[in-house]
Amino acid sequence: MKGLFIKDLCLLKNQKQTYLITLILCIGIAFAVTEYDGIFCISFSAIIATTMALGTLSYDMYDNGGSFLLTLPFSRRDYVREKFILTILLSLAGAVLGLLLSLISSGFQGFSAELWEINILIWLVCTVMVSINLPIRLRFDSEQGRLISSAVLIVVYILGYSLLGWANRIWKTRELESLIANRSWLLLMILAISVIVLLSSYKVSIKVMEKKEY
Amino acid sequence: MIRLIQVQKHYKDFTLNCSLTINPGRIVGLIGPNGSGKSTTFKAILGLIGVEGGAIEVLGKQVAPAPEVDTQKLFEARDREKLGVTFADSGFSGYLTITDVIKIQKAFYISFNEERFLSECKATKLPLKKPIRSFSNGMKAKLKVLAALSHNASLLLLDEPTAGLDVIARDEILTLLRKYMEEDENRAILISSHISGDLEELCDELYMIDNGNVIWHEDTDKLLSDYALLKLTEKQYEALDKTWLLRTRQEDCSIVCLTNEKEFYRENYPDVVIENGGIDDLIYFLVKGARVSGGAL
Repeated sequence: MKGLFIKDLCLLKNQKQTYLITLILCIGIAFAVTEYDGIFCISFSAIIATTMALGTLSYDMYDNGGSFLLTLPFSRRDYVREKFILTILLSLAGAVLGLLLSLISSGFQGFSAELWEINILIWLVCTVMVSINLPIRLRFDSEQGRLISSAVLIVVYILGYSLLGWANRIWKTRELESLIANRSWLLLMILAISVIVLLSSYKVSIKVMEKKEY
Repeated sequence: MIRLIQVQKHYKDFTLNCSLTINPGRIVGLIGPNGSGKSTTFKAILGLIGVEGGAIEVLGKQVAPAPEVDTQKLFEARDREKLGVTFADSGFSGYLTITDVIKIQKAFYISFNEERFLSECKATKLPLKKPIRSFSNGMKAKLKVLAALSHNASLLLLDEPTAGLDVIARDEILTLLRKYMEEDENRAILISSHISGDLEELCDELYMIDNGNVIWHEDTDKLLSDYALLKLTEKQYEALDKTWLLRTRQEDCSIVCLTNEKEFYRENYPDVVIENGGIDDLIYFLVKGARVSGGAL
């Protein structure tokens, strides 16, 4: 599996400019917007990082590359496992980097436990996004697959952002302090849902990959 | 090294039903017209497609699915370290560079010989830092073969490794393959190509596949020494002993027959025009020619 990670890191190296532009954009927004809460920066950075990680699948399949790739000494299960680990770790790195950038841009004014929780929540949204996307991208590596996964990506982004807004509203409403006191439970619940979706997606992905013909 | 026994794979309009054996020390060519099943055979051996019947044995282990086989005898991912594979239409992602390929090969293969791979790349003037997608067809083909040879593989599976290359690039690749075989007598190669000259020069034996079935198997030496085309008038054809004729074909003013007993006809029919046969003639006649009643095949 080490070889797969190295391959993907080499492929991701080609996209460093895209991510650099994302980070510059995040910094620019953080400076431009007064009372900036950091959510955009974290979510934008995390989602771009996740999309880039998912994009390694397209690089693998570029020019019919899947047939050759699967003759290298790793199992199909290893391939799925590596893609899950890579995308989840990169989305986490993206979220953390987005958080750090928001903090640096605001001169560490907005540092709070709430921002950390939002960071975790965004990462969980990305994890769900990965869970939905990976089996689709593994199953369809044609134009159809890209269209389906793009559509799903947009839907997940809208849903995730709405969920964040909703959670944010709850957490900022003083009248709902009792709920705020239990927000760790809320986070845990979302974490549990994400883990269930992730594990189900992993199982489906393994089945898709094992049946796939090249 | 490889044993395919009645391997079956059904598609909507094509069925593969293939048996072949490759022994150590042999270079075996797989020939046949486009769409005959050569690439499907490679993919079945490599487990890239599932098969519906028969058995595939690679390096003494069963390629899945083989439910009744002891798991220790199953061909697993780590066994692929002993294989070197090239496809005409597939390879390392075009977004990678040779420098990236070195890192990847080093991580995948314990026996990867970085020094040798690098020196071969430099000797063949492959750019190390440019993305593979910017390479010419010849450069891409050389890289594929060099990568397949870079980790001391016991068995090479090369599907059209010289496709689209000029004569010099082809010769360089064939030289690399000969060198690979000279280094260890227990190695073997299964190769397919549309360029018959390459196979006649390189292969010890040939299998011909058509419509998914192996229709002919012979040593290359025997093909080159014993096979021939007889160019006959109708009168000569009527008088001819047809026992050793494989296929026949009516042309403008003559009947052309493929035989695998050139000397028999040379000795007994001195007036008949006899031309040496090659792979191209063989494919053409076995696919397009008519069977001869009482003939050899």
